[in-house]
Amino acid sequence: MKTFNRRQALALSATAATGLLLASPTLGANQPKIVIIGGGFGGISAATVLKTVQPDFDITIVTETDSFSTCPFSNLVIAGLRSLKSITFSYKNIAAQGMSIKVGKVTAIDAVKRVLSLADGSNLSFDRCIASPGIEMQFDQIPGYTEALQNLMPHAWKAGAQTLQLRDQLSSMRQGGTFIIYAPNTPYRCPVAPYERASLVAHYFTRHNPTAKILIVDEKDSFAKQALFTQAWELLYPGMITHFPFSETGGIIEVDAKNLEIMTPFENFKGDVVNFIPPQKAPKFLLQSGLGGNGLWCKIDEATFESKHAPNIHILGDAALAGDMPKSGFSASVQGGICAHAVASLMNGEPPKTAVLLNTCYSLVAPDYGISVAGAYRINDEGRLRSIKNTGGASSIDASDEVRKAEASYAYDWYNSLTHVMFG
Amino acid sequence: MIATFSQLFVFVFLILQISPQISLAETAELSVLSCRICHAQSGTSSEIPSLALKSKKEIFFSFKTFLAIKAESTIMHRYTTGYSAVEREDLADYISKFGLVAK
Repeated sequence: MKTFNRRQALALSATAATGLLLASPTLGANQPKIVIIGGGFGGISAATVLKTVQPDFDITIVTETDSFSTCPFSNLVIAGLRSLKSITFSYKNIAAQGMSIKVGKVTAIDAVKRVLSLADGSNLSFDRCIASPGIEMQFDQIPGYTEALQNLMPHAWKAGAQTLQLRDQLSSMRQGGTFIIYAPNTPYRCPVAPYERASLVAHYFTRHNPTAKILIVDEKDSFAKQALFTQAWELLYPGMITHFPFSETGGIIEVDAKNLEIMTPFENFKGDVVNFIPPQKAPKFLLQSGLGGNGLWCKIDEATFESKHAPNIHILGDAALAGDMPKSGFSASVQGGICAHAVASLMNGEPPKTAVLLNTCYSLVAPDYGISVAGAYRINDEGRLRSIKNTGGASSIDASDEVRKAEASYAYDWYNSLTHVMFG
Repeated sequence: MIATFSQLFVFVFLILQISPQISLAETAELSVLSCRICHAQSGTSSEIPSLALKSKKEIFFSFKTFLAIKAESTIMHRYTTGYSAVEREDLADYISKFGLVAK
């Protein structure tokens, strides 16, 4: 049990009181209408859990595409170890559970009228909305890097066409060429994924382009599991991967996309293939609807995921500032389930509950060499979702080959389990 | 009788005057939302141990083992310290009865 001070309790009670008012639809003929934005880890998890606990709710999922390709394991596609099809899931089984799928792009949320606007001109009304729309790239932050030029240096940070584009660029790169990964400063989606990507591309290069080099130009000085990655790189890919921290370059100042060049105060980096992962933000429609306040991400009540800026709208996953939880598929899926329960409680006029929330980020350094970082989180006395002390952490630096192999197996099993939970 | 919003708000406010702190329950039924992500499909085709058909005693004993023999597990010993003994028992009880479905 967690206790709250007077101010937090008042805020929570106001929310609960709102929930009591909104509970009225359950008493009448109309079913409560819940619109979920996003067909990824957060959105689908929220939808399926909500359908389980409230089968009578009218649930509509708005998604920009008619299938979902996962960012987890997309690095295996880039490294030629899996097909894009194998990480792409249809919504057929979701629809079969009695939920509506609307393929479309949300352009605005009117929190007062409780209406979503879509790019095709249609509107969707809701009693509560759960938004888990992921990220948008900041194309206007770095001189020389624009949306129009993104295909010259694909980010491949949303699984799909750019995943295949980067794979193809790497497979046709000249022998002995240089592959550059630009990693942004935090916060961004999947904080350890740039380093997994470098690892799996190195695995590909050792077989097809053994004299190639990989440079990671980093906007940070350090990253999660750094010692584990460095240890593995020295063991598996000696001399192939070089990491340039912010302190060595001074950070990016300009990009020349046509010449595949990244400029910093101390050094310019020219590649044969450049994977430019730009800084990110919550999608424009959330920010333009006032749900980001003055920031680039959405502040929420970290227990219920309800927006700090508008009632009846819950935001989770990558777009939200969810306390200490990283922006990962695992996090979004857990948050989706917790949020679904909070929405059900609030609609029924009951106080929301909470739980211990977990996250594990597995990284494959090679197909049979896995490492991980785990975290456990709970709501503290200030209502913040904080890491639980003396819990979580990274794989042991001294682990045996068998443990590394076991962690790789767990990574595959985790992926299969999670996608099974979501898509059946 | 149907209360208006203001009546409800005043009621909640008055309750808070009497009892200035309220509780947000942490429940096993919601904690399984994290467990299921790895264990939902565990079993024959997975190296992640299955929780299906495990008794409360077996699950609770596993937690004790994770706390005692850290090197034996790659993930669970890192998670187990995040739960109190009561929470571990509640979680073991819930999973043994309902599996990984958050009811």
